[in-house]
Formats: sequence, C-alpha cells, structure tokens
Amino acid sequence: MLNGGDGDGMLTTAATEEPLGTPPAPGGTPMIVFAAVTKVYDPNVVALREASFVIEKGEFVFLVGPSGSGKSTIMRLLLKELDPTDGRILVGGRELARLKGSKVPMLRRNIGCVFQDFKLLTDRTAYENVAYALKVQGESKRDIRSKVPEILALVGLGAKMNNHPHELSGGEQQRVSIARAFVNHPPLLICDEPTGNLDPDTSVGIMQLLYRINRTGTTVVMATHDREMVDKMRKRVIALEDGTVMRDERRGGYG
Amino acid sequence: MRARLFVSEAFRSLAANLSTSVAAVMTVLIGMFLLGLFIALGSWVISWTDHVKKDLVVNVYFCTELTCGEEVGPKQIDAVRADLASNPDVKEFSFVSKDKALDEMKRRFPELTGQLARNPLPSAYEVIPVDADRVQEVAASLEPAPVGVEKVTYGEKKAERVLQVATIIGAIFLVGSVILLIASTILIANTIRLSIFSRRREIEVMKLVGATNWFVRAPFMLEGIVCGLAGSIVAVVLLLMAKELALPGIMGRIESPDDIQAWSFPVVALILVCVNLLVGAVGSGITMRRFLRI
Repeated sequence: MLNGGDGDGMLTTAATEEPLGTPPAPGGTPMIVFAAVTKVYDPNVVALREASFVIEKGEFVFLVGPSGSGKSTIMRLLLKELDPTDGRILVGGRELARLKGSKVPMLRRNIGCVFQDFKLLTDRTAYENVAYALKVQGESKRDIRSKVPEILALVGLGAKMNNHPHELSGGEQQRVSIARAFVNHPPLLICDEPTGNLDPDTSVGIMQLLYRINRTGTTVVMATHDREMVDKMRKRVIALEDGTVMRDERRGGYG
Repeated sequence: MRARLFVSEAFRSLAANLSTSVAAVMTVLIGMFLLGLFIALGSWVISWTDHVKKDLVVNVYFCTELTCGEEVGPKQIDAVRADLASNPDVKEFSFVSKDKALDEMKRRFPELTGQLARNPLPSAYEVIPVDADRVQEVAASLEPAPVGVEKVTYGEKKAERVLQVATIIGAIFLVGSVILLIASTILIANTIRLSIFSRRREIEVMKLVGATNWFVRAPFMLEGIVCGLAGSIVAVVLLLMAKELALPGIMGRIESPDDIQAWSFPVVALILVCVNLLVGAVGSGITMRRFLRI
C-alpha cells in the first residue's frame, strides 16, 4: 500500500531532478509567515533572532541546524505553546498574536504534530490513540469507527490496531503518531525530528510516509538532524544557526 | 453527548490507573470513617453529659440528735415540704426516712453499719430541679436553713465539674471535628494532586492534539467525584456495620438510658457524602489549574 505507484522520487541523487516536486501556489494565502520573529527567554537567552520566511501551501520544508539553533522554538511558536518576544507570525493567514487562549485548541486541531518521542498515550491502544484526536473534535463514534481503521491501514498498521505502544516497535509507534496527526487531514503537519529515535532503515519508511502525505497537498515542515535524508530529498531547506536564518534554499542540501 | 463522553473517559482513566484510584478511595474512606466515628462519639458524649446533669439533686438534710442537738419535728418537715412544693424550680422531691437511709447504707457499706447501736443518719428530702443548670438556685432558696434543717447540699463540686467537663468536651468535639475535616480534605486533595501530577505527560499530549481545557479537566474532576463518592459510601457502610454490630457489645457494659443518643445516622452519612463530592470536584479542578495552567 505504501510502496506502490509514484516512484520513489526522494531517492534520486543530486544529479537528477525531483520529478514530482510540488511548486508553491503563487497568489494564494501562505501557510506560514514568520516576519522578523524574535524569541528571548529569561534571562537573555536568545532562541530566535529576527527570523523571517514564508512557507506556501503544499510545500515540504526542512528546518536544519545544530541543537539550540531555534528549530524547536519555531515549532513551539507555531503551536502557540510560546509567544514571540517580537515580530509577527501568521498561520493560514491568521495572526497568532490575535488568537485568544480559548481558540488555541482550534489552531492545534488544524496542525498535525509528530515528535521525536512519539508522544503517545501509553495506556491506550493504537486505535484509541488515533481516536482521541477525533474525540477531541467531537466526532461521532460512527465516524471514528470508520476513519481510524482507514488511516491506520494507510500507515501500515491495520493489523496492530489493538496493540498498546509498548507492544509496538519505534517505527510503528511513530506511524501511529503520524496517523493521529493526519487523521483529521489538517492543512499543516509539523515534525520535530521524527526519525531521531529510529534506525536508518525505519527512518526511510517514515520519510516515505511523510512524503506521501505531502503529496496530498498537506504542507509539511520538518526539523531534522538527518543530513543524509535532507541531501537525498532535495526539498526546500531553511538552515538555522544560533537563532538566525542563515540559508533558505529551494532545493537545498544540509550544508 | 459530551457528558457521556466525559463519563466514559473518567471511568476509563479510573480503570487504567487502578492503583492510584484505589489509593484515593482508601484515603477518602479512612478520613470519612474517622470523622463519622468522631461525630458519633462526640455527640453521644454530649448527650451523656446532658443526662448526667439531670442526675444532680439537692439534698436537704434534717437535724438529728448528733448534729443539731435534737431530732427534727414533723411540723418542721412539713414546713420544708410546703416550701419545696411551691418552688417553681423544683421538679419533684422525695422523702428519704432515717430507716431508708440506713438500709441504703447497709447495702453499700455493710462492714461499717454492722456495729451501729442507733441510727445516726438523718432523714432528708431529695430534690430534683427542673433544670440542671439551676441547681444552685434551688439550694439557695433554702437559705438560710429553716428550723430543723441541718444542711442543704447539692454536690456543688459535682455540678461544677460536670458543667466544666461538658463545656470542655463540647469544645474538644468541635475543634476535633474541624481538624479532622481539614485533615481529610488535605489528604484527599493531595491524593488527587499526586494522581494528576503523575499523568502530566498524558495531559500534555491531550493539549497538543487540540483538546480544550475543559475537555481535559472534566474527566479528572469526574474521577475525583467518583473516588470521593465511593470512599464515603463505603465509610458510611462501615459505620453502619459498626453501629449495628460493635455498639451493642460495647454499650452492654455501660448503663445507657434511652435519652442518650448520638446525632441521627442518616444526617451524619449525608454530611460525609456531600463533603466528599465537593472536595473531589473542587479539589481536582483547582489542582489542575494550579499545576498545569489549564
């Protein structure tokens, strides 16, 4: 189900073109706008320094850089877990600063997130973990019963729906995480080092999944350390160092 | 429909975190059981002291050869009788003749009375006041002592002491109950706090996935309520068992006239249960807000 069809474009070498790249839609509302965003933690720790970039709908963007360069800060700002010290952030055309506290859950339901440590609810099965994301939206039991098996099958875990996280391998847990993040078909998917805890072979599988999700039109922003993968995929790369955007390349490499 | 979801989530959590849930229930149970016991005992003791107060009598001792030089005469006895009969503070009074007094003495202290040649004991009126608190007034009404009356006693020390004890017991009961209530509340709140704290990762995930604060909070609050309810219901059942089984055993040894009673059982039970519902719900809500800023 996962390996069929559209050619593993991401495994091309640097020499060949990415045949199925998704060019941004000009003129549409950008998915993410960061305008001179600065974030300073007390006391005087500058996590982000006047970061500016625009990410259009449907793009696949890597955020790269050493630890402490600001990648995770950007993720947390997008989820409104943090507020910027200065600058403006727009997600889906909406200014985050104007978003009331009560509307933050709404924002988060429209952003799927995947983390390095999977962040699954350990006392629930894979099915229940994904179902929780739907329950939170107020979906009916009937809808949940049809959507959850479908998405789990899509990520290759149809047979393991009733397993608990501790009964699944790292790669499988991450797939559950991705299924949960994507079950609502959010317009934006953010991933904070999703392959950080996985071995290289499993990582490839995860990347394929994320790639396929991107193909459906979902904007994917991924923070990563994985040099090899970034170089292979030849997607847009925003490189950070010490909180500053050093590089923003269309078909970038890790650098 | 939302409510049903919250309830099912709450029970799911309770089952999944069974040991924490049981700990919470046990905490409530112990606290409430002790409180119930305390209330029962305390109110029983207060009732008992009330009863004892009723036993306070005024004794009017008449003259004998030994005490006043000559025995009291019937006219004088009658005068005192009329006095007492017209006193509004007197509920009833009875005459204890010299013979009756001697018989009573013989019964209680046979060794002392065996050798007596004559009856040295005086006759007396035993006067029961209408209100135990007015014992002193009744005694005072016979001052100065009429002719033929040797002395008027009313177990002065006993009265004072009983009143003192009653006040002290009342105060102890009140303070004790308040302390127990506070202690129980703190214990319950702490147990809830621990349980929520140990699940903070879970709560973090819920918020990331886009659950509103109430969506996260409600099941926890329901859990708190369920634990509180379960604990207090079991405590009430145990108290009931204690009342039916243990009490007759203990009380059999103590003379307990019918007018002594603790507060009615259903009232106590209701108080316990309500206190718990409140603490369970409010405690969880406050804890979540403070610890997790949700």
